[in-house]
Formats: sequence, C-alpha cells, structure tokens
Amino acid sequence: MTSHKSGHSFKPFVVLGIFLLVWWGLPPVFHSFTKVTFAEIQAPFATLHSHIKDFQFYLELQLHSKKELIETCRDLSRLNAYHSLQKQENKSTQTEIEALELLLHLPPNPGFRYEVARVCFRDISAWWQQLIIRKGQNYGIMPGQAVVFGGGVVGKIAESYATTAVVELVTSPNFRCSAHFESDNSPVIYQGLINKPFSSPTGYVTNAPNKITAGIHLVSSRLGGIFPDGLIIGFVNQLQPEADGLFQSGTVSLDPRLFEIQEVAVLIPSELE
Amino acid sequence: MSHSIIKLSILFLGAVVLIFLNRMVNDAFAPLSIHLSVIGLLAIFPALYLPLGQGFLCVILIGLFWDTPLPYSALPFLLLDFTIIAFIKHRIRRQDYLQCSVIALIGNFFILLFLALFNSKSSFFHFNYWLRIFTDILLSEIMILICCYWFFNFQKTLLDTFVKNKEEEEFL
Repeated sequence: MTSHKSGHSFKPFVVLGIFLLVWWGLPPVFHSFTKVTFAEIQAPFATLHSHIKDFQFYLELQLHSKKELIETCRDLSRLNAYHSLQKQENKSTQTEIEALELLLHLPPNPGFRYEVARVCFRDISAWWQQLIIRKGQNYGIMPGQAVVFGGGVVGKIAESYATTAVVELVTSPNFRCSAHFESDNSPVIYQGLINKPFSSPTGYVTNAPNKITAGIHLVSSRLGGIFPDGLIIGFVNQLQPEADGLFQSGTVSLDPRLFEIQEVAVLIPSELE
Repeated sequence: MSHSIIKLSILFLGAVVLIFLNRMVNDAFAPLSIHLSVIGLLAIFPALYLPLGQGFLCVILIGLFWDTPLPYSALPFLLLDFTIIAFIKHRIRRQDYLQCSVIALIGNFFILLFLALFNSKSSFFHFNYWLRIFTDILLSEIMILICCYWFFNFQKTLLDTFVKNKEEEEFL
C-alpha cells in the first residue's frame, strides 16, 4: 500500500476512493439538504453584493447633472402618459375577453402577479446560464415560474430558497419551451444554444412550419403552462428545412440586454395567491 | 481548539473570499459571454498546510460551497486535485509560490477540462462548445496568474496572524 522508498503514500487515493463511494451512495435527500444549507449560508453575501451594486449605481447617478435629470423626468412623464393610455386600453380589452369567455364557455386565462426582483449575480458559462435574484420563497417565488423583463422572456425559476432564487436563462443550453411565431399560432420548440465568447446570446427553434419565412419575432406560448402568450423570446434570423422536409429550424437572436440585466419580474400565478 | 481546526477554518474562509471574488468577476464579465474559474487555486493550501484528514474535510467544505449555486458538481474533481497534490506534497516547497502557481494552473486546466468532458452531453461535437470552453480556460489561467500571488500571500498572512505556534506548523 505504501511506498516507503519514494516517500509517497497512497493513503490520499484510498481516502478519496472511500469518500466518493460513500458520497455517491448517500441518498439524494442528503445531497439536497447540504445544497440547501450552503445556499442559505451564501444568501446574505449574494444580497450584500446586490446592495453594493445598487449603491454604486446610486453614486453613479449622483454624477449626472441637473439638466440631465430634468430631461429624464420629462421623458419619463411622457412614458407615464403613454402607459396610462395603454392601461385603459388593456382594461377594455380584458373586459371584452371576459365577455367572450363567458359567451363561448371558455376557461379563463391564468392571471399573474408581477414580483420585481434585483439581480445579485449573473453566471454565464458554457454549461449553465443563470441569474441569482434577491427574492425567494419569502415572496412566493417557486421553481418553474416564468421570469420576464422589458425586452421579453428572461427564463424560469430553477431553484428557490428562503430569500434568493436561481433563474435559468432562456439562453441556457438546458432551457426548452414551447413558442410560436408572431404571425402564426402553430406551436414550435425553442431551445437555448451555447453562444461563442464575446458574442450576443442566441437560441434555436425547431418544428417551424414551412410557410414561415425568416425575419420574424418568436414569442412565448401558453401551451407550456409557464409563460403567458405573446412575450418576445427573440428574432428569427434564418430558417432551414429539417431532414424530414416537413418543418424548418433555425437560430434565434436574443435580446443582448439579457446578459446585462439588473432587474427582472417573476410571474406568480394568481391561483397560488 | 487545536491548531489544525483553526487552520482548517482559516483556509476555508480564505477560499470563500476567493469564491465570492470569482463570482463578482463573472458577474461583471457576463455581458462578454465569458466565465472565469479559479477552482485550481482552492485545493493547494489545504493540501500543503493541513494533515490529510483535515485537508480533505476542508476541501469537501470548499467544494460544497463552490457547487451550491451550480447545476453540476465540481467536488469530485476538486478532491482529485487535492489528492494528487497531497500525494506529491513532499516534493513541493510550500514557500515557493512559483511552484504552487504552476500546480494551480495545471490543476485548474484539468478540472475545467474534465468538467467540460463530463458535462458536454449533446454538445460534445459542437465547435462552439469547445471554442467557448477553451476561451474560458485560457482566460481563467490568465486570471490565476494574476491573482495567485495575492491569494497565496493572503492565506499565508491569515495563517501567520491567527496560528500562534508556527514551529508546530513547520513540523506538519
């Protein structure tokens, strides 16, 4: 077992072998317990980092002149006026939808509450692409819920802890969801793609009908039960016929702001409230 | 509390600091689609400054801490790195930071390569996957070169500050 001549002992390898055997033999509940425990230990540090970033941003804003501030306020008041008009329109559309649902005996669309959360850490590797956000189970955030931002779909909640949650990004190679094109309701499959270094995020769409031509937005579908209908996923640059000739597939350019995101909104289904 | 336990705690806390700095760097570099990893630095001091059992425990804690937010586990590879360093411990001069840096670079390269091989799944034959992996590895190695001296000095200073009996440490 031990080579005294060379001064080497194989004890480290024996210890490693025994540990790995025991570790892999342990029930999954033990692994998830350790993961959750360590995640809760790390949560305050992640939150602290996020607060420091916010403070940095605040200091950055202090550098702006009063003139810039006045201009921004003016632009914001215009946006506010536009959004209040949109809100009124939405209200009348919603009333119309409810009346039609009643008339046609359709089940109502699931409603959502928007829970806005700040991003603590962004982790964009070749194997996973995720965000850690500053809210968790304390705000009713649970795994599987949709996450969105101003540019459209961000991803879905992969894990949820007491005060933080992990969001799997739409760019992640493991991310899949049902979608459809803006002008067509046929369901297609969207999947994240590994993107090259120093490049914008991309995805991949399959099962696209032959009648669709590239240069169109891909939007979320409510078929998967996670996202509401019509949220922008990305822009389809090119489509090529698949091997069977029945469908097309192609790449989707995603919003480049996805990797710079500072704030997201989690869609919490109303039925959970 | 024995010196080994204090040393274990200090080395674990030192590693925690490095892990958070690594995450902050990755957060800042996220818009560039690159991901840096300094995992190769984490096993060196526990292997050189702690007895086998406590070093192993320290690396298990570090590995679990590293793995927590990630969907995949790097713990077995980190432990393998630790085991190899512990195996050749007698040939390493722990005051020689250049030697330690070379070990960290080699360890980091192989850990990331093994992670890439084990987690490639359907991406194994994709050019973009390997392009991304090797860019990340190259930049990670550069980052290790930049921060290894600071990290070794940081851990050594912590040990010198909190572990009183240095003579005992020399005999380990």
